[in-house]
Amino acid sequence: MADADLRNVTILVAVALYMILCVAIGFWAMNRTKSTKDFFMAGRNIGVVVTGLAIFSSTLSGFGFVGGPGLVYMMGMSSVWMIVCAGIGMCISYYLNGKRLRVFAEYYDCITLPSMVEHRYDSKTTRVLVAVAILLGVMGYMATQIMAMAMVMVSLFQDIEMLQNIGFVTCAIVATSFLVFYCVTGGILASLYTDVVQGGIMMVSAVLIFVTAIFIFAGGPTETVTTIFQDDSEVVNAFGTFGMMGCLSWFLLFGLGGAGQPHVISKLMMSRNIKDSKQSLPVAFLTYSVAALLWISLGLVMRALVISGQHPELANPDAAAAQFLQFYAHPVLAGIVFAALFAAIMSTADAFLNIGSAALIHDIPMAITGRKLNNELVWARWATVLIAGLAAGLAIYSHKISGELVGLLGAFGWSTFAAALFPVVAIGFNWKRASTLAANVAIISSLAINIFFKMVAVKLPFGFDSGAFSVLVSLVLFLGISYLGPQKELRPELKALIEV
Amino acid sequence: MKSDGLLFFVATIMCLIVFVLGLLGAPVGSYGVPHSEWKTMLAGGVRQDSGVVVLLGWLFGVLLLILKVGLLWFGMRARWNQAGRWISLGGAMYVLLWSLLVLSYVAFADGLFFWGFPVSTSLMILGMWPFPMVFMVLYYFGFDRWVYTKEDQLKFENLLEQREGKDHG
Repeated sequence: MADADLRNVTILVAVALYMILCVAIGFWAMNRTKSTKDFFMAGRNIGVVVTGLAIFSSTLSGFGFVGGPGLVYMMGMSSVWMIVCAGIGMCISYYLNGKRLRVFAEYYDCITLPSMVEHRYDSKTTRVLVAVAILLGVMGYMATQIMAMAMVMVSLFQDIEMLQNIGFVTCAIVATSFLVFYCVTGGILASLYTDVVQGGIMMVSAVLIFVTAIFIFAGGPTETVTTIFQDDSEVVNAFGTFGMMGCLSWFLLFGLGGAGQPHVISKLMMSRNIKDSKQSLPVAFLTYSVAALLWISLGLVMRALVISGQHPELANPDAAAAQFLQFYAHPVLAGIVFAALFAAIMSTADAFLNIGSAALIHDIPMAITGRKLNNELVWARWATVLIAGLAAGLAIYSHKISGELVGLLGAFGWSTFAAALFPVVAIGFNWKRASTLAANVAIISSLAINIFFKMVAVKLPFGFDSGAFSVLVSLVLFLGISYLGPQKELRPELKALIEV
Repeated sequence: MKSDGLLFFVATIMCLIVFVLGLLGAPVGSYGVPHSEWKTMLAGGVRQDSGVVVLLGWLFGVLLLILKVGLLWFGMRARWNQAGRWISLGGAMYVLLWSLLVLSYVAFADGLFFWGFPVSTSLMILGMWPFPMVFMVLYYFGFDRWVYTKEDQLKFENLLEQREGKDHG
């Protein structure tokens, strides 16, 4: 067998082994999932390490693994601002949500974020709006996960003669089918335990890949940077090719937005103990910081390799990570990282499907009819299939029509969540003055701005991100309307919960 | 000014800055141009490092950091106690790092390297990126004193008991 074939077979075997492990976790979790509370909230019984790793793994998804290096390859240091703010973003998320969401979840015995929002704002309308925002964001983000998974599969198969005719659409369908099976059987519990395995793998492999990447050039990282600098000095300067304002808008969007990501912050509602957030912040913070080394190193090295003529130009920027692993990493390490990559995508997708199906079959019916559906668990599983199918359609459509990058579609999902939920949840649950009207206006304005910019494709000056703009507008409206409007007397128990 | 008022004020000024930038209008290529040789890459275009744009950019960054650190203060319900002083000190250092980064970006466009990267990039990677660890450490060590105190715990347990009583009553 030729070296290249041996390498590819090794990678595929590692991925296949990992998939089998996922299926096993799915079956194990299915046996432990007896109720909707188990399906959506893992019985509110997860420990410190699982919470921390789950938050880290959910944050660094296919977007971070595939889109991140792709963006660095394409625009240089600009996109690194999306992770430079991760540390402060996690701190903001914990300072605002860590204790508060857990306290609310336990007191009201809530299994979803929108149901907590209803208790906080005393409004079914706000609950429906949050559920709709979640559904829309889930669509954008799920499509990203499916695209990322399909792209990596295509990249893996193209060097194996027997499989090289398998196209993007087939890969997207296979990826979605696998996701659906895994999510329907295991619910959030499967996702959480995959997060633990994945988090561990990613931590180790990120360090190994980082070491491999920085020594690709004989002169180490200095030669990598110098090669790029000589071609175009702006690429490795602090703001890259995108300029200061574009980078600052990402620093805003990703720094504040983390505290409004429902798939991430809902993990804070699941912890066993309120005090667990004290320890889970360092776990999430440190693991994310180490794993983010992948983002920057792979993108820069691939750009330097192409510029120096040592590697052909990539078909698209999102292929940067996959190409590096296939051609420059040790096959066993590449196999492990590919497995971790699939794990990253799958656990994040599972979390999205989970919150999306909760919004669809729990929150919207509860808000409209005032009662739960019969056999909610069965409906939850069907809703999972439906959402995954729609997201797969969006992924295929987006890939065919606009050829949009994984990273940018992910940014749309992120900004939808950030603008709609950050003020309403992260600030509103800590602030007695926050009003229902302000919450509703903030959600509607953020959705309108995000959808408008997405559909009309208008660009803001100096590359300022439209998602960041929607966060700013939503924040100003939320704070302003609450601050200037009449202050409503809160229910005594609600007031006490905000004061805890 | 209370912290909620400060957050509103800062966010409003940031919106105004974006509005002013819109009025100024961006020159073509101010956020990257296609690379002349590689179609999948962008190259640097017109640098945003002079005049009112860099000033507005710096100010926007300062306000953004005040907003972020203000949110930490808000979340911890810090007063001018030890927690408040630590958060403020951290915020001031964060702003200082940002200002140095912008200064080095403007001053050393053609490359003064430190640790393998242009100085501004090194300040970003070695300064701005790991700096929030200060706030993580503060959360960890200050959790029992400022985030979830014994009094908070008792208060919450009482709330749960009252709810149980209502449910069973």
